[in-house]
Amino acid sequence: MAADFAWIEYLSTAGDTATSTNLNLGSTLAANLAPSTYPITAGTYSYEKWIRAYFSGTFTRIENLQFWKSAGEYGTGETLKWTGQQTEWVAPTTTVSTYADTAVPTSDPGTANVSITGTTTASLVASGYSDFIILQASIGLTATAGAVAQKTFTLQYDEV
Amino acid sequence: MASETINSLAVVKNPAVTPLAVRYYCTEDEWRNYSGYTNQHDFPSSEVVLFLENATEQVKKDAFHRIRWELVTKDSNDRYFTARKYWGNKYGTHEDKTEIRHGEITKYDIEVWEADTTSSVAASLFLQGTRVNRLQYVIPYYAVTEIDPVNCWFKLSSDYPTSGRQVFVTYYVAGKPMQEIGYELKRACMEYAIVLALKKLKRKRLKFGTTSLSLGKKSLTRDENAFDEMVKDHMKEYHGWIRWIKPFIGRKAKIGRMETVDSRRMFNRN
Repeated sequence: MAADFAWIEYLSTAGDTATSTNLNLGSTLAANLAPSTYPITAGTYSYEKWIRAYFSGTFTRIENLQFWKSAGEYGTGETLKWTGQQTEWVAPTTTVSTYADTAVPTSDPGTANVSITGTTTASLVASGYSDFIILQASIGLTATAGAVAQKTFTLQYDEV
Repeated sequence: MASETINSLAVVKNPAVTPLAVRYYCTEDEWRNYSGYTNQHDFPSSEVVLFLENATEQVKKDAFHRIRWELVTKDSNDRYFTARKYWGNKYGTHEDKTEIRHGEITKYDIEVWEADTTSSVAASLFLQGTRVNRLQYVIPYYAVTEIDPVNCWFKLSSDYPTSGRQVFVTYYVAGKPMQEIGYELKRACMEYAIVLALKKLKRKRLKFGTTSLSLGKKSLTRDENAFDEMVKDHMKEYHGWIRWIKPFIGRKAKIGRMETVDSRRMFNRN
């Protein structure tokens, strides 16, 4: 039987969580936010998204977590930065992230880039979480006003 | 191998997109209606827009006083106050990509800098007139989180200033709050645009044998003196508006026991 999967988003405290159905980025700290209500002003950053992959149900082992942007082009002045190996929760910020500081891969990285208990070689053998994936959008002053192209993120994993 | 996907959307708000109406202190239509220069042959739109752009810059340079790199300290509410009131529009921003909204003050009208705190040794060298290598670092606009152009303060995000650095600001001072001088700025801009248009017209038409010109409500025969007199009148009118807008910059002068007092001086500071 396959494992069950959910995206869990962490908000204003480590215990304040929500199940995400999208990763919309905006100027407020909320899960599944309406981006038109919370637009990102050009020359600023979105609130960081702190999410974890949650695996439950019946499985022997989950490992080799790989995360990348599988669809959606960047607009002018738009960049998405991330990290997938943060073990401790810290309050999300709307200023430049000190964690999400690498461009999100735009193709399958081939090797694990999201850690479990602090290492990319670890695996889950019972219900549990990956480490934090942190995402932040940087919008430059040259960005055009309006909706940016939708991005799709893929998390690939090996289930044994 | 299994995979999960999730989508992400975002919307950008870009206040840098400046509507044409606030690119200059007055619009082409307002200028044509006021001046009566509706003749597209002598005053084509492409030239009028250029005159309005240059007139706007000239008004800013004549009416606002630049204060460069003023040291500011913050109060208990994290507000950095400038010493003088009231903030005016920044000049030197006439290019198309300007983020200045003319007649309104935004964070793009001030420049915020940070520099290493002056050590006592450096300060004493500076007081002796010695040059001290003190580097200024610009604080980006996204770090300016809030401004109040009437009370003349701004706030910075928690990332700034960098530890060990002091905040400096370059800003522009008008004699009155901007919301009170919209009309005056418009009239000054119109007058200077007329001066520019007439100077161009003098070179283009009077020098090349035109015998008479019909300018709005006025009709001129080929008379350079009458033409120059008209330009002078508009310059005089222009300076009248500028005097109304500009701040008092100076000190009280004392001659004998008499002392000059500029009533606007206290008004400007409060």
